[in-house]
Amino acid sequence: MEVIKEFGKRFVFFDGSMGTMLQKSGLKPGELPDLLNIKAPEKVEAVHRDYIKAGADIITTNTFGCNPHSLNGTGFSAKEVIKAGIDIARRAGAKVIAQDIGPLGQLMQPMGPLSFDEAYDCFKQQVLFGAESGADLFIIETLSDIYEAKAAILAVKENSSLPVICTMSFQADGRTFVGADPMAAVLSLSGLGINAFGVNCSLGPAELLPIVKQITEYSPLPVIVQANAGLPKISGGETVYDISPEEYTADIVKMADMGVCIFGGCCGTTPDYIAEMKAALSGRKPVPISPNRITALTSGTKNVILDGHVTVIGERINPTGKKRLKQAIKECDMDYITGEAISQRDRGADVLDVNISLPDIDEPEMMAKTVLALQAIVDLPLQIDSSDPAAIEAGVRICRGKPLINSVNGKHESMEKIFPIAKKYGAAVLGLALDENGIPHTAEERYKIAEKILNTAKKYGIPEQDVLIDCLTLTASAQQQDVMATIDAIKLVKQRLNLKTVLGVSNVSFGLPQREQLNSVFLAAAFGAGLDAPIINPLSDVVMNTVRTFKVINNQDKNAVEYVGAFSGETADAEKKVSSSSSDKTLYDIIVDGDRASAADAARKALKSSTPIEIINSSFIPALDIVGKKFEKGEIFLPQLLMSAQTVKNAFDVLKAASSSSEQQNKGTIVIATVYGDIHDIGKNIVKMMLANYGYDVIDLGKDVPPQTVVDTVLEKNVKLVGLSALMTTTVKSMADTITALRQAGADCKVMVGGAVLNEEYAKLVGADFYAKDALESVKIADKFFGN
Amino acid sequence: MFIDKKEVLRYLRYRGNMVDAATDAVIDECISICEAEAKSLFVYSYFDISSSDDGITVEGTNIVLTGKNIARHLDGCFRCAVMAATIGINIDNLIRRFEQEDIAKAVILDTCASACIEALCDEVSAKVAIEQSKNGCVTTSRFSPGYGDLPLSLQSKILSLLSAGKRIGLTLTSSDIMIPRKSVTAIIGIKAADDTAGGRTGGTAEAGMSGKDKCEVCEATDCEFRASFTKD
Repeated sequence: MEVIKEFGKRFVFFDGSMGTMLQKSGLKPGELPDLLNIKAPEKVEAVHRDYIKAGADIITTNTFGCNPHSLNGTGFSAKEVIKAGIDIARRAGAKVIAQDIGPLGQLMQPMGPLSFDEAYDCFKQQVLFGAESGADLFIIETLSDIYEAKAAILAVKENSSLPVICTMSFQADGRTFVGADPMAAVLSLSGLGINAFGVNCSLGPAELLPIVKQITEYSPLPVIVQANAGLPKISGGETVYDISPEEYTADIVKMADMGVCIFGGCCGTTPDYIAEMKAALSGRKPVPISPNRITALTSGTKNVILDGHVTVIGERINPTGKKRLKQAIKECDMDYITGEAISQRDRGADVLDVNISLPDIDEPEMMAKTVLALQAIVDLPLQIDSSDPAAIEAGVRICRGKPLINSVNGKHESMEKIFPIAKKYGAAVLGLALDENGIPHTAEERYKIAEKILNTAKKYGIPEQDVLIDCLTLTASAQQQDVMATIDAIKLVKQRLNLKTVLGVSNVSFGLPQREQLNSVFLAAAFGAGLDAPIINPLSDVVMNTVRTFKVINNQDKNAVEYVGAFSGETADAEKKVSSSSSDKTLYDIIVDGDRASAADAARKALKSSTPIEIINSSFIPALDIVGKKFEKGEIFLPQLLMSAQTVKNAFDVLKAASSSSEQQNKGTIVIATVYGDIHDIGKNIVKMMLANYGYDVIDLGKDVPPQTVVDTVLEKNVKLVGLSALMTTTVKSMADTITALRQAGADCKVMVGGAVLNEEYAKLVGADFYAKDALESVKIADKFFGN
Repeated sequence: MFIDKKEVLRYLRYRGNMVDAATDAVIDECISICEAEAKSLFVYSYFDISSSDDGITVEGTNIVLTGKNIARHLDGCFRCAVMAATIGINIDNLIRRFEQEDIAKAVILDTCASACIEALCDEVSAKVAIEQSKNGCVTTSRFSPGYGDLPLSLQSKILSLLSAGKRIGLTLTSSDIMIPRKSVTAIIGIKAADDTAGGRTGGTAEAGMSGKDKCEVCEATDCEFRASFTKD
């Protein structure tokens, strides 16, 4: 593809808006422009011809909405509309045909209903249809979600060898509708093998200037801009774009000076804009861009830059030596795992390590599930940690943003397996300074391995700033003579290779008393040597205090704001602890008061004198009962009821961690789900918490749950009570379908239903056995059903 | 975005009852969060309308409004504004995160967000009313797909008509649920100021109406939003 080779060497021009032109020739507002490929191809062809005449090098097909979602109900298939679109462009005389691929029109999980795989499949169809119809390249455009863009780009890369360009739409606040800023987009997408990256739509060129500037500062790829003809203005209820081709071009020239080398137009632009830009830039050459070299990760909305910053990588999601986490992984208890993530974030983690390795689990599947659960709840970049390359790939593929792979090492076999994954997905990769001969004793030898890792990574096309090195901590109780070699190796890697360093710290103290003391002094020494990112337990105050202190010393914590905040907060906390223990509130009172913050401590205290079952029966149940009665009488309101419920949950988590699963009380197992097509699940989540608080084992299937999933779970686990929720009149039908499916499958179970649109009568109509008007009622139904 | 605490309390079913200090603090916190994180995204357009046996035709588009309720609502109107508004996906993300951390806070934030989208819609209605008063016209209150017998399936046509996906990031699932969750589409009728026959006028006065008044004038008695505080 010749034109791709010219990116950056000469200015290349796309065409401008198709929709604006078609509306001029009679397209009604609200009509899908793509259908004109079949209904009025001559109109589309005329637009292409006008743009070719204006000087556009690349013609974009009229296929923005050619995906199964947008075409649903139109009576036309994506295949025929795409083929027609490409044929029209060819007939019009286009030298280069870019197949237009727009967003799918639905949001990705967890915000919307689309899974990564579903999105991928939709894009894959479009790519296959386009490639066989003769597209020369793909332009994935106007995306708001980098996760959707990732699915689209992978669909192109894995199903075609054609070039691909990607643009995203940013709003005036510098972020996309789903919250990504330009840096997050560049970090997440530029490593996926695209040929150019940039922006289009939403704003005029003047408003796009600051956004484009950020992209040119960080993008290693040619930059494309397709602006609207000004900021859309609503005037008398009509949307108008009101800047002239000349005004438009004045800002385009500024962008050319920043290093943008591919231009085109979006909403409101016409062939005049393309001709004007082309004339203004004729005789000029693109300005080469020299992006900043930074090592950075992103969750898609939160970026973590390692340059000049100490970055804390939380180590707690790793089952080694953790009984409760092992149990959670085996039971696929995502609430527990996300709870570990939340507590680490709250205590200052910047990145979370994710290791779920256990014998006898399907690690790739579990890794993908865990990554999905974590990124739905915690907005931090992830470090995908496994010794199984398949698990690493599963995690990195499904990950929103740019993760760090933990890890590769100097062994030939390791590099051969891990580097292709890092390259394909644009992930950063952590190299351990060991090889076939184990961990070397000296700093010089570890440095040599780091150098080998870097050089090999570069051969795979991985940018050097995406390679990080772990110089490996040895245990002071076993190999005391080698501990300082780690510190020295960090210095060598920093000085000679200019790479970022990561270090798992806690290993140094294994087998010795006062481990936190040793860890924190070792950590301070490593910081002194230039360590960038320790992997530590953020819940350890001693270790985190070392981090906080160092952030003052290295001028990261400006004016010591974080430091002062942390330590003055501690004083206040200590006082609070004294005052609350002096008032000596019982766990029962704490629950009735809804004092969520005191729950865990009170439960730990109660465990010293009582068994978990005693605590449940003497504190949890009576307190919940009294709160429930007050709620029913109208003495307290929903927020207070929920605060008490949350307090019990927080206390319950402590009891669960302290007791083995065999000691845990189970009054009965209940499957709950928000039915297929419905994604309003806050009510279901309240029910789940209430039932669990009363000692029921709740299997939560989540939201948008297909009837078959409910049937399979009920049959497999022999469950006798099912709770279904639906919030919309449109999804009550799914509720009826689910109940019918259960009956047809011969499931021996009763079904209770709830949700805003339901009532007693409606519940009967859908075939339910019980109607629960609220969460308390569901507990009563369960108690009655199980005879509790 | 400004959120009226009285509205939040009403949605939480506090009817003149005292709010305890702990809850009050969480409500204030959630209002601040919502005010900081909610976007003010909206788009609207004007269309002439005409009635026929099939329903009310929105001229220049492929939309026909069907059902008795919308016909009554637009009685006497010669034009309408079609609007879509959302406070954005940030709030959805925060509510989801709070559900894991503190469900009471999640429910309160959800409630603040409901008050917030209503306030945004009131702003849009007021804008429309002011624009139309310059033409010597008055406007009706908002009427949304799913109210009464106006089908929810109209939602997708309204979103396409306004390019709401591209313009304000508003999407629809295959069960016609809007995402971001706190989003509204609606139709506002426009008629000559001297035409007082039929229909329900809202006009600029509507921005000052309390939510309860709005529900009382609304004929959509099976509306979920209404159920949330008039049921039980």
